[in-house]
Amino acid sequence: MNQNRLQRFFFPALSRRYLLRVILVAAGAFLFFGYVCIPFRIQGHSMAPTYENGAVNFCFTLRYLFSDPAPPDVVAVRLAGNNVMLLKRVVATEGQAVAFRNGDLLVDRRKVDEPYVSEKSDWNLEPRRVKPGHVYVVGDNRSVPMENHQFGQTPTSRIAGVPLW
Amino acid sequence: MVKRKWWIAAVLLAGAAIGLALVLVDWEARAVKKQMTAIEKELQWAPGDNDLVAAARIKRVGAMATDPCRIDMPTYQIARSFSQKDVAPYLMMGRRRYSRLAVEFHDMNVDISIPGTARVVATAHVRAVAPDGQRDDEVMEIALVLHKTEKHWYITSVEEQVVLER
Repeated sequence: MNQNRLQRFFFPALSRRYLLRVILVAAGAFLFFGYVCIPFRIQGHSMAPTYENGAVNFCFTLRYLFSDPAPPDVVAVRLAGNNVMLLKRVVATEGQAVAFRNGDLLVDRRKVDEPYVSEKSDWNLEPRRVKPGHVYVVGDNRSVPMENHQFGQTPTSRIAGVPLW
Repeated sequence: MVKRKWWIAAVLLAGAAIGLALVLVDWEARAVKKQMTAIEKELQWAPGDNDLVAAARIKRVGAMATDPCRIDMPTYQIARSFSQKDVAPYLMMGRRRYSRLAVEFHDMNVDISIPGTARVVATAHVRAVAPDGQRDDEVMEIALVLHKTEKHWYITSVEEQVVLER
């Protein structure tokens, strides 16, 4: 009896009901993994050591459905689409002034404690105000020269979601 | 008789499918995407590549641009207009700077609101390796304008889009 049920589970009869179930599961997976939890692989060291090169994760796109990104959220910033995105940390929101002095992050002239940054940098950046509807994002890996690191303010509309873990 | 009926149905179905494809598929956008794929294919080199083959590839990239062609890419400190003759020597300079190069375009959005002019927004993933083995990979959003001349699409301008503004 048990063997029969097992056999039916793994090798079901190609009935109309079974085909409908397959179509529904495929459509559900397509929508879920294409629009809600987009799988991605990290390429690069910009978010090390929090997110290492080669790690696999999922971009949860519904995170900011009822709220706005805020420090210290890690977000995926969309480029032309969702196939290639930048993974960065939000350090300031609209209206705040951001600066770097000898590697220390200053938001509204106050030094921000950043336990996620492992290597101290020598970055220096004059204060700049975050525009309305924008957030300021920076990577955790500050060991690279400032010129080689992609960071800055971006419209919140470009934020695709957050990594699941 | 029955066989003939099935044949007629099949021909009608195939005709409907072809008609639907002709109506629904944006053939101009497809041609532009094809041109972008051709750029991807030509704009690459590796250390073992034959110099003549690489030079021919670079020349073909030059032939895909109009004369002049405006390129604004702050990441590579380029902001100028190139004549068609300039493109190949400039890329040869790039070949000396990077021993290996590969360019991929993702998420291509083609907009042809003005006939004969296409605006393409895409994510460019540039994988470059210097002769000393140092990697210099870049990901950027770019906007290209292409013009159609005698059934071919030519690049008129390439502009890097600001995603993160310091």
